[in-house]
Amino acid sequence: MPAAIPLVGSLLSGPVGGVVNSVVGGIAGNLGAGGAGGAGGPGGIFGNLLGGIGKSFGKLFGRKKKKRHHQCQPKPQCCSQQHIQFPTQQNPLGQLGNLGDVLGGLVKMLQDLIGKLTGSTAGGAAGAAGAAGAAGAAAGAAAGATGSGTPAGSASGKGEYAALNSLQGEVDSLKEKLKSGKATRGEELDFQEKSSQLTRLFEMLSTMIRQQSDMTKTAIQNIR
Amino acid sequence: MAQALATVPENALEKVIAGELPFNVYFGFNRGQLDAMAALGFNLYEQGRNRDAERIFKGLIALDSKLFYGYAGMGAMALSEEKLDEALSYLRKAAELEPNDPTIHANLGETLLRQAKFDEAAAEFEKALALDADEDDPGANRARAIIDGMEIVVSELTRLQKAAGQA
Repeated sequence: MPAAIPLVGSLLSGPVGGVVNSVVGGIAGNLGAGGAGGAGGPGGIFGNLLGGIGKSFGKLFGRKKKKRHHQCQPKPQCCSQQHIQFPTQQNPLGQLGNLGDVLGGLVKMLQDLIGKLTGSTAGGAAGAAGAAGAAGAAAGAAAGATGSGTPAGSASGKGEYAALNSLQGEVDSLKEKLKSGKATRGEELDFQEKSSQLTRLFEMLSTMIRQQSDMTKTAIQNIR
Repeated sequence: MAQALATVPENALEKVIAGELPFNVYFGFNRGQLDAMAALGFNLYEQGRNRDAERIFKGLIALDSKLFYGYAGMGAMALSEEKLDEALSYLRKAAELEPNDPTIHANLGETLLRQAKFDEAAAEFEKALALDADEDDPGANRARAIIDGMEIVVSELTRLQKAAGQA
């Protein structure tokens, strides 16, 4: 089987050669590690590959094709375009841009919420607290990047953040429940998991704002 | 966005914690905005900015765990980094949420093939190819190119094995 790897390079060129080479290397590693019936020496691996693929891929190898060659994307794609209702020729940041300063306000409110949540779990969420710290640093960067400067206090006074205000209220009451010892261990763990999710949301929104800011800077530089 | 912000149900956080509602109930991002966020994540991954892409994909999962984009993105990225167990876990979840996406099945097939799980890999590749009958989908076409490449390699190895046996 190891002999098959240099063989791939001599048989296939271009992106497909690189991808198939990597696939064959992966198979060799897994067969050698005892996958798919064990190795049994190099001869065994060789036999397992030919026997295993030949048996399982018989229908695929002999199939009819509409096109003679298929372009091999160098990286795995994420999903089919038919399932994403967004025209790929459009700039996604353009679509998100209509959220305007709302994103900046949301990021700041999320930062507050994460602080509340991580503070509520009696020091049991060291990881989450660390994440919130990192998120806090990112928030500073995000706020600097957007220049929106909407302070959380003033954001909470705005009607457009009413939903997150209600979330703040709900977090307060849940915190009380946790502090009073009425919550079960399961509820506490669920609560910590949601804290982590909020941190991930925060990081996503911060990243989006940073992308927008980078793009704006590039556009301004190009105009100059 | 404003419309959803105005209609947050009572005790929403408890429902979010119980998994009955997504976090997006608080944000009210519409489908177009969620798709644009996914497209941003996919673009970042294509550009090799994997850590930024990861933040978008994990954020999408946190926002709505019933939406397949984040899992599909994380799965493709893990596969490209050859983190096969991680890829398998994300891609299986993506396929469960969106069973009709040829690219997800193609990625699952490739992951399983790399793990030398030939029967399962072939089954996933067959699904991918069947879902893209016109042979237009780039993800399914990557699978076709891999299958064709493997066919050439296996055929050559078989020839060499026979020749060695005769010698």
